[in-house]
Amino acid sequence: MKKISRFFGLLLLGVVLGLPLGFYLVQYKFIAKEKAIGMVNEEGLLDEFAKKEFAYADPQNAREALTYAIKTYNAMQGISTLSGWREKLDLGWCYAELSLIEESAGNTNSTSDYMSRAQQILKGSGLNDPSESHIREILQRRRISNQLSSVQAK
Amino acid sequence: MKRLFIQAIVVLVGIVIGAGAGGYLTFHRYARDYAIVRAFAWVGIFSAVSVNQYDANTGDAKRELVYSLDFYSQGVASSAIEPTMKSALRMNRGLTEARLYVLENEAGNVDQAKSYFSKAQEDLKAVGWVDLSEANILQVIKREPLSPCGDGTQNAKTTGTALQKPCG
Repeated sequence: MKKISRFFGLLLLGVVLGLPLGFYLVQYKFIAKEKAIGMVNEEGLLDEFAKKEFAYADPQNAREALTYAIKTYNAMQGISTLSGWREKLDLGWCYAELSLIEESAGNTNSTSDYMSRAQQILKGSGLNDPSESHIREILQRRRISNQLSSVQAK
Repeated sequence: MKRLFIQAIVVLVGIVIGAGAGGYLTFHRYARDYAIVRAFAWVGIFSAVSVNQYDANTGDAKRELVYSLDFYSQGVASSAIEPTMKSALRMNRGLTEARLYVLENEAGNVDQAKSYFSKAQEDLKAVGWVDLSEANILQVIKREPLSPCGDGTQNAKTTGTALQKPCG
């Protein structure tokens, strides 16, 4: 009887020691990495969606996509361990594109608000010239490039 | 001596059981709470592989694209995903169908190609795309030369290649 209780006592000791070890190994060697990849992929997918909607969809859908992408970027800041300069740059461009959509809808307050946020973020991300005119020029160039490619394909 | 050895073995067995239980419980809780993040990790990888295979025009491209299509379809059908996120998945499903349209056309399977293209148009229309012409859709999914370092430009990002940073 004494032997059996000693056996279970030692086994229990092992289990107690092993529990945090298992937690640590799974949490930091697997989960943390998969979660970081998942978050970056989620941001990437939404960014691509927002940018394509801006280029190809109607303004209402594009606005929804850009707003959702911005919401996701902001929610993941500080949580996503792989999030870096590129994601910040994407956020800046989302604000800039949203600003142009609001401008075409005649919402002047939102236009200037989003553009100033875009300038601030792009400046912080290292864009050489974060002036409004330069940002507009880049976005315009992209739009023209999309239209030209489309016409050439036709 | 022998007794001490047996006791050490018992403790070790306990540690293995404890580690297994701790790992399982941690993973179970993570899988339950972060199902969508987990799905994105794998969707991103599958998508990046399939688009790269398509761009490189390899023999595996079709199979990989069908896998991606299946992932996107599961996401679109899921009730746990928010509507805007579903739209993002739906757009990607549409673009994947368009890529399959190109591959089936190249293989001479005209009927199958047409079927993929009409599905692609349907998906892209649902997410608000204005120009649903073949020329416009083909322009969006045109094959791009592969770079070992990723492009690094803001415009060149495709799903899953978010992990590709420029060299240097």
